[in-house]
Amino acid sequence: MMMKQDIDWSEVRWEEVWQASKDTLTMLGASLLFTIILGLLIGVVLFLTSKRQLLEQPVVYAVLSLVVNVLRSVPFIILMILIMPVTKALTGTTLGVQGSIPPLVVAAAPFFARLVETSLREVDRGVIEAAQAMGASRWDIVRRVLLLEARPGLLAGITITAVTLVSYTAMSGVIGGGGLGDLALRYGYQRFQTSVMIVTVALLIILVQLLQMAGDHLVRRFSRK
Amino acid sequence: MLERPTSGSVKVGEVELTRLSTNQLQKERRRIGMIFQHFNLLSMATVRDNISFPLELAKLPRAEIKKRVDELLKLVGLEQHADKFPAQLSGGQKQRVGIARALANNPDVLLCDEATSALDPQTTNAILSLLLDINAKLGITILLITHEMHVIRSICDRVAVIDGGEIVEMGDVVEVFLKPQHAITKDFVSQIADSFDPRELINTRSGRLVKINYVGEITYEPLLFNAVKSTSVQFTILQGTVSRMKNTPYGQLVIEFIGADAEINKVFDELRGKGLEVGDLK
Repeated sequence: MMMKQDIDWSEVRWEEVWQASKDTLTMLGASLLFTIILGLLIGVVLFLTSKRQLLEQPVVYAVLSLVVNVLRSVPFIILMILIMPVTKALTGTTLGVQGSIPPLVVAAAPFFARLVETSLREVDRGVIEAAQAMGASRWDIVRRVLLLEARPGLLAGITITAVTLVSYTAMSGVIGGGGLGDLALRYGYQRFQTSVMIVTVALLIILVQLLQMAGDHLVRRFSRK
Repeated sequence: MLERPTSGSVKVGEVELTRLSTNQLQKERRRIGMIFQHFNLLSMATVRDNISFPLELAKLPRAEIKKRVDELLKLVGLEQHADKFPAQLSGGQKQRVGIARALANNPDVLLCDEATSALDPQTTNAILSLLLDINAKLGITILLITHEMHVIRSICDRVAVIDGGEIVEMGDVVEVFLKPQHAITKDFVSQIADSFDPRELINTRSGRLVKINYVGEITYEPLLFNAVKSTSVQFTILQGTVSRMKNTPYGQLVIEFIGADAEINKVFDELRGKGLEVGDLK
């Protein structure tokens, strides 16, 4: 009974919740898009330059792999602060929705790149060999064989990355990134408005659930095994 | 040629593959169709898309690709399965897709790398007769790599035996199979021939033991009977095989002749005169 009295639902400003939700979705959408493009590129290069692959280049692989590992080992909250100059140069601000997209991409792209690399490794070597035997160029093999055959794995990787990005967008609230995390921090934490905290957490849970369900559905649709 | 050899040469027709640049080699590979033990189909593409893959690589116009794929589907008997995915097909059907895909660009040579090793005997026979059919219809040279002797016996014309990376014996299948020279060939051939040990027969039989080999249409003529009928020589077949290799009939018999030596020799001369090979076992 005490709990119920403690939570004052009238504190929740629904227009702000609505705006914050839109901001979160915008950040998620934009950062996911750039993460996929960049991560796919890095992942494919990592795979191709690794041992016994089409473009075996030990030095390129080692350097790229190191960069990916470094970016992945820096906690997101610190990465955001570290790359502020870059963010400023790219978007003109380190605040708001715009200012949070570069750190989100820098944090998520290396993560996704590793997932891409792993899914490409799952592609049957025999199929690559068959494509070579049919006169496919390396580019043909990447485009028509690797990316096609790895599709279920790539879709699963995108789903995992999207969920990770949701939690990152919430964290970007700390440096004034906007969105649901920012709302939870400002009202829920700093003003002790538990109701706002509950609403934002509930919305984040729903968002993650929807993403996972959509991802699983796509993976199932494109699985042929 | 998927890997560059460290030494030696690889020639297909008049083209020396080892001297080609990567780009030229890519083009040249299109003239060589290849099928694999584990089929190596695109699991995410339908049968139709798998077969059109090499045609798309060759940048054929869309309409032409469709026409060619329909032809190929018909050739390998998979018209009803065009929109299925490889995981929905049996091993034999997957290999048919592999064959259709390998033939798409009208290659000069079809390389079969252990193409039937992963298939059950019935499916193997169906695939082999499809290969024979293709060989006859399209006039494509088929190069088959296998360790299954019956595969060679049923569809090949010529055979080369490779041991430790060296060709140790090469020739017409009938020739090599009936008179294997190298130890490894004898070992392989014994897989399908009744392996027999004449020593036991030599010790227990009192008549004259001979091994008779013959190849070709004479297999089906009553030569033995004709040779002995005017003499008092009798004979018993102790062991033997009469069969066919691809289209060539052949026989290998171990026979005991009983009678006077002079008469038996006369019988042998007559048999040799008809083209049979007669060799004493004692």
